[in-house]
Amino acid sequence: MTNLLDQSPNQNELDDLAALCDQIWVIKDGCLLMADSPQTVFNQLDDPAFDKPAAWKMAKKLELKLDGCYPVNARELKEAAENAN
Amino acid sequence: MQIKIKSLHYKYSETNFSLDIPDLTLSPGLICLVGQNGSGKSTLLKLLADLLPAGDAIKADGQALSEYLASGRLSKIAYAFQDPNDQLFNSSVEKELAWSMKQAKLPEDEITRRTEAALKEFGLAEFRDLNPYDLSSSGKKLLTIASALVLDPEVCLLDEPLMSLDYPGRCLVTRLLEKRLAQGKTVIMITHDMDWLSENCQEVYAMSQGQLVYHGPVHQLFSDQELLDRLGLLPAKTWQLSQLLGLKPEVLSLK
Ligand SMILES: Nc1ncnc2c1ncn2[C@@H]1O[C@H](COP(=O)(O)OP(=O)(O)OP(=O)(O)O)[C@@H](O)[C@H]1O
Ligand SMILES: [Mg+2]
Repeated sequence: MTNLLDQSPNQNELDDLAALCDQIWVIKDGCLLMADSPQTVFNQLDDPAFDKPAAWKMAKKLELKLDGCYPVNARELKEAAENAN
Repeated sequence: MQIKIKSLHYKYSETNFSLDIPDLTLSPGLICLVGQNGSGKSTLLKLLADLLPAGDAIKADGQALSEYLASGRLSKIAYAFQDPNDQLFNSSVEKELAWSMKQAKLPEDEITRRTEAALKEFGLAEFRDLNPYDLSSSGKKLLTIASALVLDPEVCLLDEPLMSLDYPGRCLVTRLLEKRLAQGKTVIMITHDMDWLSENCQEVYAMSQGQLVYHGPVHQLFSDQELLDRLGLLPAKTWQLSQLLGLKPEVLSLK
């Protein structure tokens, strides 16, 4: 599944996207900024026009990483927490 | 300004839905209203805006709401519709902003000053001559909110102000509401967004089938699974993730 992200939808939708999509396309002002996995998009996209999934924010706060990146969904966050213990 | 509700009963003639609120006092601050579709949130807000008749059941500073507003106090309470298409009707963004202030009989130079400030603040300046119907969905939503806030009301009634807004729009509205709250004003808003609620609101009212079934702290609502089920609500994402990780107390805000 691929989803078009044209300026962030609300938090719930973002978390659903991060859990369900294979690819996310990010469009801003008519330009395709990124077309990549949720992991790459949310870890690399640094633009104040876009929010991050709650799982990503929580992971950042708790300093939990998976393969050097912050997890972007609940499943990855849980895995990172288990690895840390 | 204090709003009191006593024995409020309202029934639409065309449907069986009825709203009943026995007793409620609303004091300054942020009041959030949640509940399933059709639970009566918009109906309550319209009653508080005097868009539906409440008789003597709603009082503002001790006076029946409609009398209070009729006596030169039209700008004390402002309302923004859930669906912008129900609200916007002027031929340009600029005229739309000025309209409510004209009804409230504000001086012409003050109307011009506030219109210019709102166009800038809400990022609508480049669209000033555009028909509101040609704005994007977030532009329309921002215009409905701007048209209410330009009145600088004591009480601002916002029906799902975050709906259809992108992230910068949500941040903007959040910032503007915080500013009003810091001035001691009242904001009564409806939302389905538990994440926003969790980040920004301390106290919440929940409606079900035309009745207020909960009033209290957000964390208490999120802790009560039976109530959440009854209301058809899920707690905020941060709360759900806290539970998944076994964090206690659960995280309400990542601000
Ligand atoms: N003008 C009307 N005439 C008759 N019935 C109405 C009218 N407006 C709303 N209703 C009915 O009243 C009930 C409550 O509607 P209301 O719009 O207050 O719900 P709500 O909680 O705001 O829902 P939502 O979350 O979908 O916006 C619904 O069953 C609706 O069909
Ligand atoms: Mg509604």
